[in-house]
Amino acid sequence: MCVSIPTKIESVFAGPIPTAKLAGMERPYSLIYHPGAQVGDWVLGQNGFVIEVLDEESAIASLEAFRELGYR
Amino acid sequence: MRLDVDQLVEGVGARIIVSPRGARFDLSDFPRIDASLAGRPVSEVPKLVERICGACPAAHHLAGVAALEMLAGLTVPQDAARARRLLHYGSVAVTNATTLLNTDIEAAMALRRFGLAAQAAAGSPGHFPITAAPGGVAVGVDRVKAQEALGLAKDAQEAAVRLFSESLDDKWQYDPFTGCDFALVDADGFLDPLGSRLRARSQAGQLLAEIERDFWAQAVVETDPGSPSPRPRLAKYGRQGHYRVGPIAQARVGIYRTPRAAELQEQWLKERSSAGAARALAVLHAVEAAVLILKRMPDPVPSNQEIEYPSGIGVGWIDGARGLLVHQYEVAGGKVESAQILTPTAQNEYWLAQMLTNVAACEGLENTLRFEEAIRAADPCLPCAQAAPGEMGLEIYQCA
Repeated sequence: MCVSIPTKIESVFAGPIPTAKLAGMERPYSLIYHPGAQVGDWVLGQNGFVIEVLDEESAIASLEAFRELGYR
Repeated sequence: MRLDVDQLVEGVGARIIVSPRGARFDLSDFPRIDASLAGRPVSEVPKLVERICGACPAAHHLAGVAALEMLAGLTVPQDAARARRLLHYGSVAVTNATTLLNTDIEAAMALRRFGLAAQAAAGSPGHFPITAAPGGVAVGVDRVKAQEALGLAKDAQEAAVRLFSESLDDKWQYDPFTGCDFALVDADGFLDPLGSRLRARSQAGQLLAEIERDFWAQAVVETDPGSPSPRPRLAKYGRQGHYRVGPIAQARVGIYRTPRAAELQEQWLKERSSAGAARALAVLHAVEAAVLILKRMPDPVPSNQEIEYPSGIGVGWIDGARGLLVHQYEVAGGKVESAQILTPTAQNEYWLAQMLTNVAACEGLENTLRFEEAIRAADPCLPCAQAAPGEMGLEIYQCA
C-alpha cells in the first residue's frame, strides 16, 4: 500500500515559489502550499510538493507507527 | 516485513513489467501491511493504518472506525454521521487538490482551501483526523470554520466545474476493460461514498450484485491473497468477476444525488468521457454535498466510551477520493487474528494491467506518454501518478 513518511526540511530556497530540500531527498520540493515552512520543520512530501507541515508530536507518532509495523 | 523507510519517503519510480502474457504495473515495492496487524489490539488498528498511509488519512480513519462499529454492533447517531460525512467530503477536495497541482494550480488551491476548512469544521483541523470515534464522534464541530468553508465554497465549486469542462473532450482509447465497476450506493440507489451497499455493474450496464458489508468476505475474494497485486474479484463470476473502483466506476454505477454533479454526469455518460472529467464530477459532488451540511451544521455530542470488542468480523468501507477502501478485521479476545486492508490502488491493478497491455499492443513500448496516460487514468496512490507528462520516470522491463 502507499505510505507517507514524515521527514525534515534541511534548507529553504527563496523565489516566487519557495522550495525546500528535504532530508534524504535529492529533488527540490515546492512550498507553494506552505510558503512559511522553515528549516527543521517536519513535513510530508509528495511528488515534489510539501503537502503538510506536522508538529513534532504528530511526526513522531507517525514514525512510531512505522516502527511498530516493522519498518526500520 | 523489513523495509527501509528512507526509500519510501518519496516512493520509487514507476515500473512496468512486460511479458508474453501482457504488461502490468509493478506494486511490489508497496507491500500489504495486513499481516503485521495480527496480534494487535483491534481498537488501535485504524489509527495505526491512517498514520502509515498518510496520503488518505481521512478515508482510513472512517473505514477503520466503521469496521470497529460493525464488530461491536454500534450504530451512529445522525448528527455524528453528518459530521463524518463533512470530514469525508473535505478530504475528497484536499486529496484531489494534490493531484491537480501540476495541471491547474488555481483550482488546486481553491479546492484545498475549501477542503481544509470543511475538515476543520468537522472537528479535524490537522492532517490526521480525529472526528470519528466508535459509536459517534470524538470531538465537536467548529461553527466558525463552517462559515469559513461556506465562504470558500463558490470558488471550489467553480474550480470543479472548470476542471470538468476542460477534460470533457479528452478521450482515452486504450481502455478495453472487461471487468465490472464497483461503487457504494445508498438505500435509494444513489451514489453515496459512505453508502450501505456495494453495487457492481457490468460494462454492458447490467446490475450484477448489491452487496451488504456483512457479505463482503464471501462476495469478493482475492485471486492472489495477501499480494500487493491481489486481483480481487466477485467470487461468483470467477475470472470474469474482476472489477475497478474510483471516479469512472462511480459515474457508471449510479447517479450523483447533488444537482450540478448529476447534470454534468449526464454529459459525461453521453460523451463517454475521461477519467479526469469523472474525477471532477466526484469533486463537484463532494463540494455540493459538503455545502448542504455546512448550511445546517450538525451538533454531535462527543463521546469516548470504553468498548470491549467481541470476537467476530468487522468490515468498514468508504468510497474515497481514489475509490473503494475496505478494512476488514477478524478478531478474537480483542486482538486481530487477521486483517484485510484493500486499497483502491491494489483493487485497480488488474484494470491498469489491461490498459498497459493494450497500449503495448497498439503502440509498442516506445510511446511512454501513452503508458503515463494509462497510469494517470487509474490514479494509483503513488507520487508518479501526479507527475507532469513526460516526468513519471517510467522504467519498462521486458521478461520472458
